[in-house]
Formats: sequence, C-alpha cells, structure tokens
Amino acid sequence: MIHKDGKGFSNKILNLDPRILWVILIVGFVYTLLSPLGLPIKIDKYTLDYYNFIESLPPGSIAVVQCDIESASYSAQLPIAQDLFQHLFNKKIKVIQIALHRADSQVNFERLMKTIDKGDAVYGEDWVNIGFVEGKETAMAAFAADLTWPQKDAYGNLLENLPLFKEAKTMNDIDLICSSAGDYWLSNLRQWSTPYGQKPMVVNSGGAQLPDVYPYYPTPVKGIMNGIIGAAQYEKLQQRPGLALALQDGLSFVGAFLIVIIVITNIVQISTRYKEGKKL
Amino acid sequence: MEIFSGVVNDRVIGLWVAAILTFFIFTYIVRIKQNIFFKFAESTIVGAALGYTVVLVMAKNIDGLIITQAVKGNFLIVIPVILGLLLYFRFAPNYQYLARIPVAIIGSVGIGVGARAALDAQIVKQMIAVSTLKLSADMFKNVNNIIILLCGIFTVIYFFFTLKPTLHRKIIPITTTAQYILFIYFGAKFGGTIFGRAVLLLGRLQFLLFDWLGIG
Repeated sequence: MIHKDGKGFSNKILNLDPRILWVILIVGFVYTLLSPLGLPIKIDKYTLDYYNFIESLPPGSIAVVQCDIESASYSAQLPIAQDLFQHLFNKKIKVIQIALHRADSQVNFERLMKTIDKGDAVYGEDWVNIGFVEGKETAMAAFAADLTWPQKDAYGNLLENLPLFKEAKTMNDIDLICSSAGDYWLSNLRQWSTPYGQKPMVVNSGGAQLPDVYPYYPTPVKGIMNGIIGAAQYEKLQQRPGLALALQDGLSFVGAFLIVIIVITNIVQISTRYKEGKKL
Repeated sequence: MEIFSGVVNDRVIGLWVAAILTFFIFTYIVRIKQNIFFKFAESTIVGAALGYTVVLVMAKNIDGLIITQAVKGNFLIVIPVILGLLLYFRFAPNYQYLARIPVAIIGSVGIGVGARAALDAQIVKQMIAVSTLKLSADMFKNVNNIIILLCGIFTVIYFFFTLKPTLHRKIIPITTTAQYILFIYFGAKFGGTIFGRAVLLLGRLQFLLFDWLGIG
C-alpha cells in the first residue's frame, strides 16, 4: 500500500536495505527445501526434443560431451549434467567426455560420475574420460580432426589403445555433440558442429545463455535443457526424481519474489516521478 | 548427524571446511561489502584453483603431449616447446621482445581457427535461418516465424548507422521497435542470469542443510 503523500512509503521502498531481501530469499529457499511444495511442472518443447533426440539414437551411437563443470557453479551444473549422462548410459550410447575450458572440471567430473549408474558400461569401450585439455578453440579444432590428439585420457591411458577410438577417429564418426559447458556451447558449434556438416547438438544452457541458443534450434541444436528448470523437466521425462526437481520449488519462489519486487519498485518509482512532475 | 558424531575422517573435515568457507562468503551479504572473512575465502578459492590448474596443465602437457609425441618419434614437437619456453622471456627485461613471437602465433592461430568457423556458424547460417521464411500448416508457427524475421530486420536496421534517425525520420518507428526488441532480449538474459545465480545460492543452502547438518 502506498503512503497517502507517496513519500514515506516510497522512500522506504526505494532505499530498502538489501539485507532484508537476502533474508526473505534465504528463508524462502530454506522453507522450500525443507517442505517441498511439489508445484506442477510443464515440459517445454526444447526439453522434450532434447529427450526425444537422445531416445531416437540407436544403442552404440557415439556422443562427444564437453562437460566443463566449474567449482563455482557446481550446484547449478551438476543436476543438468547428471540428467544427460544418466540418459546416455541408460540408452547405451558410447560417451567420450572432454573438458576444454575449466581445469577444475576434471575433479568435478569425477564427483559427477560417482552419482551415475553406468550399468554394464566398460571404461575404454563404452565411455572414456579424456579430462581437461588446455588450448581452448585451437584444441577443440585439433581434437575434432583427430579424436586421439590429446594422446592420453584423465587416467594416463593412451587414447589410441582404447577400443572406443578404433571406431571413433574424427568428429565425422560422432553421432551427437553434447554441450554441457555453460557459456562455451558456442565454441562447440563453431569447431565441432558446423565444420562437420551441422553435426547434431544438444545444449545444456544456463539461463543466461538461453536467448543466444534459440536461433540455432532446431538445426543444428536439436534440443535445449534450460538450466535447473530444464533439468527438472528432464527428470520428470526420465521418471527419475533428482536434484533438479528438489530445487524447482525454490526457483519458483525466486521467480514469484522477483516479480513482486519488480512490480512494487516500478509502481513506487513511477508514482514518485509523477508526483514530482518529472518525465516518466 | 555425521559432523557431530565425533568421527574424524576426510569427509567430515571436508564438510567443515566447505561449510566454514561458505559462511565466510555469506558475510558479504551481512555487511554488503568486502571484509576479512570474505577476502580469506575468496583468496583461498582463487589460490587453490590456480595451483590445481598449473599442476594439472603442466603434467598433462609435459607427459601427455610432449613426452608421448617424442616417444612416438614426432620430434616436430620441439617447435611448440621452444615457442612455449620463449614466453618466459617476458620476465627478462632485455629479451622481452622474444616473448612476442609465441604470443603472435598463439593470437593469430586462435583468431584464424575461431574466425573460419564463426563466419559460417554465427553469421552466414544465422542470416539464412532468419531471412528464410518457413511457412507451414501451423498458423502459430507461421506467426512466430514472421515475428522472428521482422525482429531480425528491425534490429539490423537499428545498427545501420548510415541512416541517421534525425535525417531519415521514416525509420524512427523501426528503430524504436528495435530498441524494445533489444530490451526484451536483455530482459530475458537478465532473468536467466538471476535464476542462474539463485541456483548457486540454493545449492549452498542445500549443502548446508542436507550435507553439513544432515537434515532431511
């Protein structure tokens, strides 16, 4: 409710101590974590296409996954990467994992793999973890031209001795590119997809990258997992409730809270300027 | 609760260190400025990450690339090794110019590799996708495609600085519309960023509640 003269209340709102907002956010988050509301989730077409594309791949197809999970955003990237890898292993799709931008992703990937049920997948035949390779886009281009270019995997094995690389020699032999690397998905497009005949891609995007990914859907980007929201939808599709679904209520709370804050501050701001006779 | 059970193992120590560093970072919220706890946690994270990266990259490059290639008889690997070593001349005041050679090569190769694919992937393919109006039986899709086409054209005109709105008044409605299109784009990006950051906070609270305190 706005104060009669519009000044007292509006001043309070416009000069609100940010700590109050933080307290409300944290209390809301803790509440939603401890008492999940179970709000309904609608599966969008980007997530559905992502899921369906992986479902359409025959067992034995080969996917290259760039999985750069940085420590600072581990909690945001973990559920998304978990959903992707679990689906790939469930579908018996062979996986070549490489990190090209964040060195700490090598240790984070090990943490991630401990949470994945790999079934009867054999290391070297069905999946390989190359680990972190320095060189950014130049390294990506070299890797695409010769998948054994990094020479050794994360555990010191020579790549050319691993059975998986007998059938996958260049990016031409790959059926799917999975980008689980936040901002770096565009370099996957530049170095792996476009030069190799628009190789199909699926992108795990953080919320901020989403508007940049849309123009590349549906070619070559076959599907987009939009952050935790997308991951929650994916878990629902896989019928495997996990971390993302647990975080979903908290995010819905943030959305509602932000809308309320934006609406109130804008009303106050506009009414204040109107009363002061300034241009809106 | 594992952390209060009296058992001391690497997991319990890890949980305590992570929880304490998390609280140190949260002190930024309480004081809304840098403080000694925040700086300590920040420096610890930066230092640990840098140390880990240096060791990993050195080990991978020396063992994985240089030694493995040399063992295979590919002695051309000596050239990048020499170029890499030249980078260290940056610290020798009289020979600093030598460091410019590898920097120039890294820069030019990087730009070349990036640009050849960027032109095709980000400009040519994008322009074709936006400018080709794909009509289908789905009316909603058609309207959507027309909106995308118009948004693309309007936004390009907005950045077409040869036509000054002050001189060519007919384009003012177009540039104004383009401005709003850009606002929507930035708003979507901002919204996405906020959600991304919120997940980070949620992740830390989840860690404190479930992993550290063992609630739930």
